[in-house]
Amino acid sequence: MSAATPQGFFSQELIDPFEKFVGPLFEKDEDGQRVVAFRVDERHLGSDGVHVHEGQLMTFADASMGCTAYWDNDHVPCATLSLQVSFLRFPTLGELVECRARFTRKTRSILFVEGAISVGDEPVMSATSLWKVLGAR
Amino acid sequence: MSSPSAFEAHVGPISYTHAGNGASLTFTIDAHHLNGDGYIHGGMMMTLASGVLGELARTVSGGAPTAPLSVNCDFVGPGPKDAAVVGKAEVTRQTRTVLFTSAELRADGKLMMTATGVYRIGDAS
Repeated sequence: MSAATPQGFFSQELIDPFEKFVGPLFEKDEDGQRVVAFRVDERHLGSDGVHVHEGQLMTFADASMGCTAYWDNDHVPCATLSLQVSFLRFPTLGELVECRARFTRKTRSILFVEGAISVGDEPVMSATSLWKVLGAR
Repeated sequence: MSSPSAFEAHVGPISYTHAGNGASLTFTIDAHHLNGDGYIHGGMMMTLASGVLGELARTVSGGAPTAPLSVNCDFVGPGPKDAAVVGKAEVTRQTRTVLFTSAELRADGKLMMTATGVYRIGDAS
């Protein structure tokens, strides 16, 4: 599945087979804030054939908050412990969905990451997550 | 309304069954469902959890439209390739407009994920 890279973004080099299967994922730097994005295509739709499936939205939340948990923590491997989302509005076919994530707290072994997911300026999903830093006690 | 979605057809097959006030699913972990460590990706796990919760919501809503408002997932254990996944969901509480649900996923019998979901019943207003 090819998808045009949105203006200002680059296409992420994906490692996880499942992320390749539902990707591509795009990324850009916005004044030091990492922005990760995907565009809703036909494969991502829910049973009404118009709106994105919640599974794809949560996969995107996990992948994009995971970028912050890994790349912004000195590339130390980590694993999702818990992830919570609220669905504000379900994006539709063709829309570009963006995530801006940040640490709310970092300890030696646990990372707290919050994600704001939007289409343009409109928030569509809010997410929080907990990550285990692998190898740390 | 319970025609399979494009997304679940793409990542599936996922098989659903209903019994009484519950819903369940079966699924086999294949190579394209994995993360970089060789276990089922968290996104696929959450797709299964929200899938069985959503199937439950459609089953008990009496034909009214439903939509997830929030879903919370805890990653309790890993799911290796070729493992047989069984998911079960049940109603915690149902009001006229809101449905509280919970689910668990097991891979070859070992607990992999626990999840809760809150669903809207009826049209958004």
